[in-house]
Amino acid sequence: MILRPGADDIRLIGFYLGKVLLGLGLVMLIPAAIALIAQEWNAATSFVIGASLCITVGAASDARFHTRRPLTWAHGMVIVALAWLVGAVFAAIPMYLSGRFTDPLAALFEAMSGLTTTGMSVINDLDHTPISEDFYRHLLQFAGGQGIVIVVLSLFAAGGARIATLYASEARDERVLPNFIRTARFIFMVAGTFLVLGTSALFVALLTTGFTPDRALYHAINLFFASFDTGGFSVMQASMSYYHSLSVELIVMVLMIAGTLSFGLHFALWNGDPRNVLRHLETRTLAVTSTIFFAAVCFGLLRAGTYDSVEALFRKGFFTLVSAVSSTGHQVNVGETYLSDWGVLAPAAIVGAMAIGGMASSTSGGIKAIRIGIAFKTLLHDIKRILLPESALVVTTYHAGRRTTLRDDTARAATTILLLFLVTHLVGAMVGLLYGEFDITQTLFESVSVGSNIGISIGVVSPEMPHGLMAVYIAMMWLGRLEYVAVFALMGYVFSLARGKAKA
Amino acid sequence: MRASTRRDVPWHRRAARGVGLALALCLAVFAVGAVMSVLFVLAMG
Repeated sequence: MILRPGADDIRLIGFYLGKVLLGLGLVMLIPAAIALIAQEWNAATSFVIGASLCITVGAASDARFHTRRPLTWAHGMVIVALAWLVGAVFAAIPMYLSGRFTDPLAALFEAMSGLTTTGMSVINDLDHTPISEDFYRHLLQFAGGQGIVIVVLSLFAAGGARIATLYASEARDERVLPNFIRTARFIFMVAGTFLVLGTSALFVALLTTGFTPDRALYHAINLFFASFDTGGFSVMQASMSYYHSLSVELIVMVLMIAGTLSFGLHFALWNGDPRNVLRHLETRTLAVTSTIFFAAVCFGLLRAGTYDSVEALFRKGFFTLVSAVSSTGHQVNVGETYLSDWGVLAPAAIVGAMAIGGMASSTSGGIKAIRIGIAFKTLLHDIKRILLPESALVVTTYHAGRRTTLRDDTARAATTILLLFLVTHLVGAMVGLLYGEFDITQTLFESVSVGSNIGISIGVVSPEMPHGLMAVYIAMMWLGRLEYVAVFALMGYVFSLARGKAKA
Repeated sequence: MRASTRRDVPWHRRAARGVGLALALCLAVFAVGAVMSVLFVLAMG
């Protein structure tokens, strides 16, 4: 029997959503200030309108629905699912007002792509976009990468227990520190440290390529947001190939790898415990899968005659693999060349790397290495059970921060999400085929890239793409970022509103 | 991880240690990529 949510439940959800919108409104004030300084009056107007709407609605919700009721798991799931959706809708407002997008759906696509750190773009004429608008796109990746929910609530809310529910809902289930607010602040400390160091390194590298100091700083900051938060939005249409710089590519790869490390592993490194990193199931899974995929990329590229030098293999093939594994989406080639020039095997390996993605509890997307590792451990466990006598007790363990016994519910949860990702990728590919404009290699590549929040595009995503496909991709980005559970909880909540029995 | 480790070490030294180890990990990853590239070019080039 499903109980219908009551007025108190709706009030609680509205209260926390209000806080999220308040935070988003404050985020919009940053590009608004930049627009005023740069005298980009149209952009400034758009951001002021957007920020005003967010702050007004957020403050009204906060005041109207104020409550001290504790959050339950269900509330947390619903709030997180709605936060990403409502956040994307409000984040799209200044984008649509800018005139850079063909229609509201395209603006929503871009906003969802930024907040989910996917990095697919449907903006018109990116190379001539005002700096405040371009900066806003990258800032959304930073906000989304660090978790809009955690950002707002660690700053505004009081009481760790309520934050804990939302933290786990947002597909980050690793407790780095016992106190969730301290965990959120540690995440920001790591991000802040890499922001200073990474931006400085990129600034110097861009100066050496001939950039003027102001342009170098602007590109460095945006490249940092796109790389460390594994977002993948680019400042220029040509993405990474615009810079023609090995040093920039190396620094960006360092930031992408740093971004794909889980915050638990960052914590281990900060405490001088690298053995914890090397023993971790995710590290080992990624090491094995990435090695296999890169071997396939090298073999495929050499066989197809695309590249024949070590430098080209490293700067194109290895960079693209790191971009795919980290789910960043930076491209060193024009999208279509992945299918037209790379042969068959190398793009297929990239698709596999995109599907797996990076580590859990990081900004990366994809199925996540931990689930692949657990699925593999489950397979080994089942094989051992078959081979050993019936009376034998089979125990399988893995290292995830500490030695952990593989349990049936853990194995089931991992394989269920893995299956959901695969089904979504296939559905997205089939929807793409319905329009008759693309073939299966194109739609499958793009669907995996969107559904895993990667962002490497072979050209299906564009300002002129079909609206139905755009809507499907928006849903896929949302599902992928939340790893399904929170979205299904929201759907269950909506169903129970309609069909549930009223509480006594 | 020992609780005393966090309290005794200033945050900037922890940050330097964390970033340094992350950089070392990245260099190891690059080395593997470079070696694999060399091996494949030698084998198939």
